[in-house]
Amino acid sequence: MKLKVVGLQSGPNQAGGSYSERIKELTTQFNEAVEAVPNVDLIVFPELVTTPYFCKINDPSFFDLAEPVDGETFQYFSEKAKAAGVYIILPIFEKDESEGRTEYYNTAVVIGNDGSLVGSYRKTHIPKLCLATLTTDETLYFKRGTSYPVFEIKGYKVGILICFDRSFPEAARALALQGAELIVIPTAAGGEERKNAWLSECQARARENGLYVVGVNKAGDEVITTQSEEVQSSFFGLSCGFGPDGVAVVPNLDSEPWQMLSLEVDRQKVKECREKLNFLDFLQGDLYSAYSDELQKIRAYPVENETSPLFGPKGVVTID
Amino acid sequence: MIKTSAFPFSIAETHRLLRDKQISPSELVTFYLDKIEKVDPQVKAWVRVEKEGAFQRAKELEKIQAKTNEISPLFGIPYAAKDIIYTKGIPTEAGSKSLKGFIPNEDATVVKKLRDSGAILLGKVTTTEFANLGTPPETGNAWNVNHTPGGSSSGSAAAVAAGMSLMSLGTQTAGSISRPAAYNGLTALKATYGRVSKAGVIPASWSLDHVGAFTKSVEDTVLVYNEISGPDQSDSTTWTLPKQQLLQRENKELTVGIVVNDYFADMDKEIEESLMNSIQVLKDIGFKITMIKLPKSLVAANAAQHIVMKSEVANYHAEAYQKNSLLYGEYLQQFILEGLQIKANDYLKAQRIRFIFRQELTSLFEDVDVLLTPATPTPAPEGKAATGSPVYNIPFTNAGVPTLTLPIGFTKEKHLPMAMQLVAAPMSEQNLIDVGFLFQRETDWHVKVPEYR
Repeated sequence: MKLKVVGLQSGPNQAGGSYSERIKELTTQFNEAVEAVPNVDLIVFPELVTTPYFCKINDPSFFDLAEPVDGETFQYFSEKAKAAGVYIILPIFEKDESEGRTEYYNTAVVIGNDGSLVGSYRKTHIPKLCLATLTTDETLYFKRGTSYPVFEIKGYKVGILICFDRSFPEAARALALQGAELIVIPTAAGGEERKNAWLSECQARARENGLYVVGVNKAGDEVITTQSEEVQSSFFGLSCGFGPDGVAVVPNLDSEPWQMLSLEVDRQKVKECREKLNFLDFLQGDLYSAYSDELQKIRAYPVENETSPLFGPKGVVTID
Repeated sequence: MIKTSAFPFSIAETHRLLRDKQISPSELVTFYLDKIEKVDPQVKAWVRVEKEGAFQRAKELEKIQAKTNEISPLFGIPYAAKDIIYTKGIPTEAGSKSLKGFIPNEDATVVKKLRDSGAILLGKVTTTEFANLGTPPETGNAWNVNHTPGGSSSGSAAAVAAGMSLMSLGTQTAGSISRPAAYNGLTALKATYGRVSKAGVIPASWSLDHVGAFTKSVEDTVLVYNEISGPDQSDSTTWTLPKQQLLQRENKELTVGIVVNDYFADMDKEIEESLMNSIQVLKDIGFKITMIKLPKSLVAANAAQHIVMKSEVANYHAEAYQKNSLLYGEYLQQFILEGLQIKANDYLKAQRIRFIFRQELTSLFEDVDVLLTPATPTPAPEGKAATGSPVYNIPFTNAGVPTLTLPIGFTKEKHLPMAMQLVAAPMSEQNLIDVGFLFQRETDWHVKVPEYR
């Protein structure tokens, strides 16, 4: 059985638009996708789908946009997921108060086709960038997540990376090593430098790990006006899907907003591709760290296994 | 009033004067605070001087002094604590930006023990950033302020050597007690790993860290060690070693093994000469002298020390580093970044190699009682941008075996101190004291003090 995936290249937030107006727009796009792709299994929204991209501005009032994983937006799309019988990956601005203190994350929520909360992934690489065409500081708002969960969706193992995470082969590899067959990458990216690398980054993550990659970006121009400044973001779109052989399974979208990308993930193809050449079989995991003379010396030094019953790392405690 | 010219420079002599009520704790505190005021603008050993606290403590002690003829060994003795050692209500910043303004609400166990013994905390002294190898303080060597005092316990050594304190507390993860002691002409015992509690001391690398004291003589070292050592509920690494009282005694029935590995061959010519003279002194006293080689695992063990230290430093700072790496100096930033990438497999292999090295090193003591090496390859290097090399100390910190650093002379041209390092088997500190005590009875390098204008 193949997994039918739709990526929604949502448009920007309207200047001064309300939350309910935004939800209305997203609902329209969602409904169109459900209608256009019969028996769709998984629908993926782009990063921070309900909010504007506020990370270019330092203004604590934006924290008001955050919501719990099972908050209002989840509740709404939970109903939609159940009604349509489809899984949804819903990226939100997360507020977590569960451990007695308040933390904020850039999170993608996984909603089951029965409306249940399957789980969530918190963005692990939080950019603070000052490029010619992109200046942003997400560290003002988000704490990093600390794990790479893999979710089961209709028997397929699906991992999530968010936006900047795509540029780190280690992150995709961590998912591949846990058996992921598909990595979805909800994104809200702009700037020429990042645009130029986007397709090849998604392609490389697919080929080097022998799995599907679906990159879902926002598209269009967005303006946030505050008391002191007017800040613009131009999301470049280019949502795309690559197969485990690194070849596009569907033509990538252009930079026009409100489009969708539809493709099928086929386990058989992952299998065939890995039978030919599976890079995961050649990993030298113990070597991938900073090189040093000291590491060379201790690795080259032969140590025989003994059975002396010491508690903890040896040599730490004197037992006499 | 005290005549400063006749003022004693050792704990032992000061103790006798206090016991006989010839001086008072307040007079002592006044003397040392004056000395700090006069000398520290040149040496820059102190992070902060606790003037009021010291006087208040001295007043309390005077009430006790008036009532009794029996005083505890460190009664009224002024001391300095390295700024990675927790002092209740007094900022403890570890030479770092990230702990700027941090005030502990508890004393470290060693500080508590010194307080119980009557010692008076004069203040906090400088350290390199988090007692690591990078980002040295401005502190100068007590014998020539244009040279490094060594590190990481830079202020601890400089303060005592410059006569601004009778003793000080420091720590060693690679060579941070032995090296500054050597560079400043001091006597310092780094005891067996686990002898002195580390509770309340900010870790550099917990499986390598040792706490110890800088003093002017073996006699003073014994007095301080007997007070600060012993099991501590709050530090599990101290639980397996019983409390031990070191003695000053005449024991010539010991064999000293001169370590002859190539590892120590790059030592400075003047240090080599002084070392030869000192070996002759030991021979004349009556110690048996023999030659010995360190185990072959030495090189791998040194690499293991590096890997373990990097891993543990990185682990300790990981969270703060992830939050804001710029709060760390360049050296530590790189050190932590590399440490975070070390795999558990390599870390554990490194710990096993350390264990093997310790076993092999310990087996040498079937033939000798004490090993002898130079304490440093060179005298204190010029400049303060770096703190000199700990390579001669690392093997013994790594093995957790006790070492004693003793002054053996001064360089001819610049009059900088030189030192030797004695090493004993785990838990055999007494052997070091036996050799050191008789050595200092025959030599006077340790009683020399620098002069300041």
